[in-house]
Amino acid sequence: MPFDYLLILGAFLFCVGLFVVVTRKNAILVLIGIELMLNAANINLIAFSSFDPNALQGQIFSLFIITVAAAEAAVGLSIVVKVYKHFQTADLDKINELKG
Amino acid sequence: MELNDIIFYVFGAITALSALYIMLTKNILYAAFALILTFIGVAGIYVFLGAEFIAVTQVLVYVGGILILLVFGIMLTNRLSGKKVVSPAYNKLMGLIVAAGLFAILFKGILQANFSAMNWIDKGASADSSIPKFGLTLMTDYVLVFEIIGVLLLLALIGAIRIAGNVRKEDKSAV
Amino acid sequence: MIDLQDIILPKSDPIIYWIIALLAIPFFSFLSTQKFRSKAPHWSTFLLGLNTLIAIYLTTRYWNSDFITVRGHWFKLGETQITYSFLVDRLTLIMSVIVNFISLLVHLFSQEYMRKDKAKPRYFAFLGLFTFSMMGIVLFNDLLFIFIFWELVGLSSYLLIGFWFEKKSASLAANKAFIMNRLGDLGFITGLMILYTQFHSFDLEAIKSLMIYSEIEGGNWVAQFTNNGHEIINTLDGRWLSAAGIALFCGAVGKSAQFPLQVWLPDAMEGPTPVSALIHAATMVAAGVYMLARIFVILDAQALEVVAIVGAITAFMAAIAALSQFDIKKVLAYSTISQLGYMVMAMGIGAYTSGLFHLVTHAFFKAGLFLSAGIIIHQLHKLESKEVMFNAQDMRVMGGLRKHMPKTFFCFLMCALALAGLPGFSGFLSKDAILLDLAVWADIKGGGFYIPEVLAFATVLFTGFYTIRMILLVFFGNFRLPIIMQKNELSGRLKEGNWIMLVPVAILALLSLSPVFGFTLNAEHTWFVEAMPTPIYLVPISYAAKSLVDVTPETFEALHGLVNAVSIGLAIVGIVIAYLAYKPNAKLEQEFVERREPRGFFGQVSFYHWYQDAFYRKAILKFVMLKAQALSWFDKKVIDGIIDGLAKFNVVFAHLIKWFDRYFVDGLVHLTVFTSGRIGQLTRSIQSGNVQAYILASFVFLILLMLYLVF
Repeated sequence: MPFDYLLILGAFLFCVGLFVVVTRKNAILVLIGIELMLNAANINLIAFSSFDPNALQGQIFSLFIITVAAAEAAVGLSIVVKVYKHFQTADLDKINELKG
Repeated sequence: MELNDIIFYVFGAITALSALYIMLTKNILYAAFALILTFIGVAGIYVFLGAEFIAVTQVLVYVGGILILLVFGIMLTNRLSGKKVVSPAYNKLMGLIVAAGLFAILFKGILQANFSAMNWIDKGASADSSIPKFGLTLMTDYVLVFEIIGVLLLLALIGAIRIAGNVRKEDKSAV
Repeated sequence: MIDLQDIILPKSDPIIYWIIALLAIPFFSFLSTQKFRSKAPHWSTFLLGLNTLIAIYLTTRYWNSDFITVRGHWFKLGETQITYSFLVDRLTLIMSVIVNFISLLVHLFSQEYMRKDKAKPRYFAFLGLFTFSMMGIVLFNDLLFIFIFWELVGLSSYLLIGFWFEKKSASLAANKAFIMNRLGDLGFITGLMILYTQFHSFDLEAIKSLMIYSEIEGGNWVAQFTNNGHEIINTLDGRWLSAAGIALFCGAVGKSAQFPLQVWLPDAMEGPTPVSALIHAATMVAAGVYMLARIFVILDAQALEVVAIVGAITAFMAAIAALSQFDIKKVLAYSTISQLGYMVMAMGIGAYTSGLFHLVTHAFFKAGLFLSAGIIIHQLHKLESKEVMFNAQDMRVMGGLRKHMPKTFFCFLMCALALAGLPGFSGFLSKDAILLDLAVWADIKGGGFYIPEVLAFATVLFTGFYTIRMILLVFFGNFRLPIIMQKNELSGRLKEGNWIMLVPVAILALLSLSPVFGFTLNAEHTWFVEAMPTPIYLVPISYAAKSLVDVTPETFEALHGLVNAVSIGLAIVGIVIAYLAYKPNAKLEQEFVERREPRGFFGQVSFYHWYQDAFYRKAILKFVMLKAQALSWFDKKVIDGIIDGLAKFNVVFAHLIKWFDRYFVDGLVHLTVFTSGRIGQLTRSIQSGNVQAYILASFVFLILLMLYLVF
């Protein structure tokens, strides 16, 4: 199994996540993109960790990332719900209160 | 070609294709479901890389938790009245350029780094399964971080409830 | 070294109140007559009487005291202090008496003369203005102020000559007088400038004091003095000293009707006759002589020569012109010019006292003549009606008036004999004094300077001639008007003038007698000559004329008898010739009545006053008009063209600039605005408030950073 392919897959996932984050109007989809990017990072961590069987730091790190992702998803979604209640929309292009 | 490799490629393909689908579809709900496929694909790759525990956690947390949350979020933030839940895209060109550019740079970097030639990479070590060892390490060396993560999760949950909950009601009950 | 500021220190004296009164009363008369309307003549006569009394009082009080100067600072221009100053000496006193007294008599006379005129208040206002300005000239001792009042006199003369401005000839005559006076004033002001350049002051006392200290060094006229402690050395070419005198004299030429500007005076007879008596015989025309007397001591030899020659020429020319006039006032006008010529010539030869003496005597007898002529004209005017239209001043309609108005005749005769210069009358004394001084002067100078003497003596002959001719034509023979009009009843209607007119004339006739000035036939012994000695020249010695004061009395004594004999002889010869030519029914008398103008070359030259007017009209006026036309053409075509061109060019240029402004300058501004706006929009668009845009931007920069760091 070529190691480079793993890394390329991770990079691909990250870029797709980035694209989704940047282009989609809906806040839920943006969160989905963020999840994709986190997963891309996890793939890299696990891939490198597999060459280090004794320390397993990569796996532990990815476990923490998953946890943080869960927390982030919970908080993020609750914010989205709150924003929707407030602005009556979840489209990020319409929520530009900070426009200069 | 071994079966292992074939399965790996299949999982890799599932991951990549479902991710592409998320990217291309306009329907939010479809994207959420495609995300399940991506997560499962990623979990499969984890298994192949000897991180079974992480793979299981991935499936549990992501597919069982986050995705449910996402679907609820979609439900709460759209007026579902029979029609499709779609979300238009914008900034497509800029997004594509940035994403493709980043990918190109990363791709080139990965190829140039030529990790296979590095001597610290022990190709034989990847097959070992070591859940007990992982559990030991987590409960000994990283126990503090583990506890902090737990507290963080708790805080996040409380915070999520606090944010999403009805403020007015709480104010009234507080009085 | 003498300091200018010390000379012109302010001085005061109680007499200033009298001086102010002398000036203010006529001025008040000028301002107030309009209020009194029909009472205006009485009011202004009363005021003038008051003024005359003041003048007489001042004369009796200050006659024997030293001269008094009153001076004040007016304003300061840089280092230059402009002052006003009054001088009261015997000359001032006698002039103020004469001016006020004759003015009073003329006011009195005008009560009757102007009775029917509707514009009486205006007339008396102008008389007041004239008296005021004349008193200004007399009292001020500051050339600047003398010049100001000089102009005022010119103005009031202009107003009075043009009093009947409805008459075209009167307004033209007024213009002529004014313009001729202006020509002379041009010289006056030039003289002021020269003196000011040299002495930095207009004050006559300062000028005289500094003149003493100025010197001639190698042909240059150097004045050295201090002003406020600053040492000043002014150096001019020596000829400027003469030029200053001659330039100031030009003012006198204009005002005193001297050759070549004398042509205005005959025309000035268009004014009312009392005005002619006051202004154009006794006072205003004497102002020039008075001014010469004031600046007498700062005139150098050359300037004095010019003055003498001009005076002699004027006296002679005017006497010739007076020989053949028809208009009684014209005869008197030319005789006035002639006598003024005498006075000016007297000043020129250094006979200061004689000149002023003649001024005084002439003022009385000439005013008397004019007023007598005024009575005649006034009475003749009464004969005018719709059927009988004639020129009341023309001697051809007169004749034989002796029987109709004997009192007037008697007064006229006395004044005329004074004019002719017969012993026993004032004119004899003063004219004799001038002629004696002239004879001495000519002997000292010699050569060509005998010509003024010859001219002056010839003038005596002509004066006798035209005086007697006038008397014969006016008072003797038959009254010609009824004959010309063929209406015999006119003869009976001509009456003597009333006492309001006769009293002033009688007073003036009495003042024409020589006993007024002393029971003597020698001018030397009159109180006037003794009271007013000739001053010594103050100009640097090398430029000064030889003063008559330095001539021994023996020289005068030696010549006195001869001059007396010749002048009396010539006058009598003139009188006899005139009697023979113009006695009733004589040949010339007959011709005179019939002809429109004299015959023969001599007659023509005389009648047209040496064709001077015609010459001015043909040579100067034509030239001036041509020049004016040329200039007008030049103005219209060339200058206007240039200006138009400039304007057009400007417009085109302005359009260019406008275009440039709009497209380049505005373009630049707009470009700046546009770019900054665009940059603003660009940077603003980054701050869109859109989270995704921020993310995009940060990733863009991440990529750029990676490209920069890695590759």
